[in-house]
Amino acid sequence: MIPAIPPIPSISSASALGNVVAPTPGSAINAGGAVAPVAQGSGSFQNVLGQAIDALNGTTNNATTVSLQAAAGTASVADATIATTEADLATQLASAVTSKAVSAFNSIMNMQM
Amino acid sequence: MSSIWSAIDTAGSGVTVDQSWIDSISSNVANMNDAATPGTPVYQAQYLVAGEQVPANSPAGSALGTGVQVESIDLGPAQGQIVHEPNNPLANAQGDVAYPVVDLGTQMANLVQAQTSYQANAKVMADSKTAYEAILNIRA
Repeated sequence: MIPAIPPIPSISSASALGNVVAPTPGSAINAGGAVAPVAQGSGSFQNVLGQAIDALNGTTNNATTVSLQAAAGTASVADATIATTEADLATQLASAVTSKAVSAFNSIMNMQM
Repeated sequence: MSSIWSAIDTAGSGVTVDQSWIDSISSNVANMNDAATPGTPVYQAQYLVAGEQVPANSPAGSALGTGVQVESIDLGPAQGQIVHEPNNPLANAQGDVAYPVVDLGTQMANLVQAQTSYQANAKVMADSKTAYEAILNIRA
């Protein structure tokens, strides 16, 4: 039996800009009913997705801040353009990572036994 | 600032320096006719000195560069250029007036250079975004 996917770390925990928050340790119930720890390696789905979302949140917050500063005249237009471009790319990266991970998960789930 | 989009940040530092360069040229041209009595402070033309941003914890040349920065601002001659204008109210007893040493032709040539450099950095920024998007859009 494949263990259940652990919960995704909360986005609200990443209010600090660029601060990657370590995900809370997840656990899953295996076929025998005993609680088994889920692998917490840096390559786990939980970590990858959590870090991507945290990075995205920090980058978009930064873009919002710099855009407001540019509108108020305290930041240069170039800085605002850079920040929004990076937010755009970070959104695409998070989207791509999520799509790939879900695609891989579905490939496993659709395997014919 | 360092991020995974390093090419954009590097080009952004170039845009920032070029903007400062244009600002300094603008200041020089705006002040080129500031007359002053010889001996009193006269406007000194500002020239940006740009230098490489050396990555932290690594000697120069051992890692990829992270951009450019304004190292300092060099100033033109403090005494200005003395022009004989006896009718100028600011003239001294000898009828001389000090003007800032700003050559408009040089400033215009620098402005063209700064503008071209700005456009080049903006182009690098746009193209690196296209490159990043290309790798993100791979559909296996």
